Amino acid sequence: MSPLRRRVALLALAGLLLALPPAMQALGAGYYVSTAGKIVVFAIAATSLNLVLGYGGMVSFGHAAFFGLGAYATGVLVSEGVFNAGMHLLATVALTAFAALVIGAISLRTRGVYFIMITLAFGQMLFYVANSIKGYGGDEGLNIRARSLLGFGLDLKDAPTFYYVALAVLAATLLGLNAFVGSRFGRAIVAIRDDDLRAEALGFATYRMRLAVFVAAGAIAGIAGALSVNQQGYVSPNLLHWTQSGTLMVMVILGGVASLWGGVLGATVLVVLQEALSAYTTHWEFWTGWVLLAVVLFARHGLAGWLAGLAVKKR
Amino acid sequence: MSAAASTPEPLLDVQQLSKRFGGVVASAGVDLRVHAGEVHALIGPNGAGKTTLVAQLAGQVRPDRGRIVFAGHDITHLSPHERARRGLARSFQITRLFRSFDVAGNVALALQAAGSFASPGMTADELLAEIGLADRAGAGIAALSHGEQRALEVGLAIASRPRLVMLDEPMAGMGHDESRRMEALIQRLRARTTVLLIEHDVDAVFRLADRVSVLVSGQIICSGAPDAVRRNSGVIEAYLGEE
Repeated sequence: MSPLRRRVALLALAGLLLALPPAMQALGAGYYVSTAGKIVVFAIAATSLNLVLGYGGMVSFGHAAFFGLGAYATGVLVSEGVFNAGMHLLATVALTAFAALVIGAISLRTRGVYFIMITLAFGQMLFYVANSIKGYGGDEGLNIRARSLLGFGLDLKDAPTFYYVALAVLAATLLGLNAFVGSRFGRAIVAIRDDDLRAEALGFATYRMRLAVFVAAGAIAGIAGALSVNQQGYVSPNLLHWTQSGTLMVMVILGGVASLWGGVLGATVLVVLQEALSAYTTHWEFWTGWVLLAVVLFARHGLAGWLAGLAVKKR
Repeated sequence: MSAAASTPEPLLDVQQLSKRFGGVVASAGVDLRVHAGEVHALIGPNGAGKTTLVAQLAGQVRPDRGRIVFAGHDITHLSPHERARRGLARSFQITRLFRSFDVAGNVALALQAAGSFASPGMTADELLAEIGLADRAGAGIAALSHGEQRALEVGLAIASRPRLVMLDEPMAGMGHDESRRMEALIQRLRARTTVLLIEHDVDAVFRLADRVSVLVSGQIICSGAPDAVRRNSGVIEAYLGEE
């Protein structure tokens, strides 16, 4: 796509997304505004995983732990009577970045399958920790009555308001990822993914650079988690479970590994499939599996790659 | 270069380097001195431990015992990127290039890595011209011939203008013309850096090298001027004789 067409397409998309809540309400489908909000939250989390997995080549199987940890950080503060959104953001980022720093510092000493297994193990450890904290709901999870207080009269309990706030965070995430990919640091990270031995032999401090990306992605997933607890009014230990990490991974693979829009596309398709199919069958995961299979077999670079291919053909 | 041999302080001083993998001894007390400004060839039969030695010198493999002194500093426990920053570079026997990038992208990455520790001694264009890939800047890695990939492999290693560059079989798998071009490149390198050359092509080695060390079963059995090494009976028996 030419830069001009690209800009027009982006503006059209932005207009569409901004018009979504009033359009849905006008059509009497106001309920789906919260579904749209859920998609946006998962899109942020999946995009953060795409940063580590796609661009960084680090196949983290414990990414949901940061998502869940972020949800708990904000949830616990609310239940303790701290409502300021700025405080929530600060605490969420500090906690998830610190957790990612510790987990990454140890996990990144390993390679390949060992890295997958050790991140999985750390994720499960945090899952069991969340289960065992009786003061904050234990295995039943934590309900919160209030929400993060943003000021300006914004109420996150209101579905359209939440949707717009989450959309702004997603936009910031995508802009950040886009800038990162085009930067010298971003190119070095992709080079390290291609061949870390060669990159280090050239003088790149590969371990530290990877760790920085791992921490940044953990913090972004944490922010997505903080949004999630605000939407649901509830945080469950299951948010940290490895199956949740698997769901995020499916979103990334479905949407397009190492593609800017991969996480967004994957989250959209998976959540829509889930909502649409679960209305007809309890075995929606079975049918979702077929879709994933088709994408992996016929669209090697995910939906983003497939769409890019269509755009090229049309021209 | 007999003057180099009398220099008291070698640029690279390897002392009693030992490494074993289970029951396999890769290095059995390697002593090796490389002097500034020389092309020093390391030859030896397959399985002698040449590549493992290079990996220990560059930091990818940790030795069990012994010391590596580079430019007067003990670098035995430094990580690979710290050694690169001190001016010790290497190329790989099996080509390792960044496949998500084109030729210019690979060169830019090598210069970027070098830029964080070395003064920019070379522009991308100069480096591409040096390795003979000036007209291939936009080509993807997969589109390169084997010889071009090997040239780029060496090009990445010399981008930082290292004080010592270790070339691990740069001519492996090359045709005659490609080998000649690589030989000419190494001749040009001689003017500005020290080269430790691991190479199987013995004719090329004796044309290029100021000094030759012979590694057999993880030990240096002979080290000296090419003619002396060529005449050494132990070397003939262990290695050259089989040619």
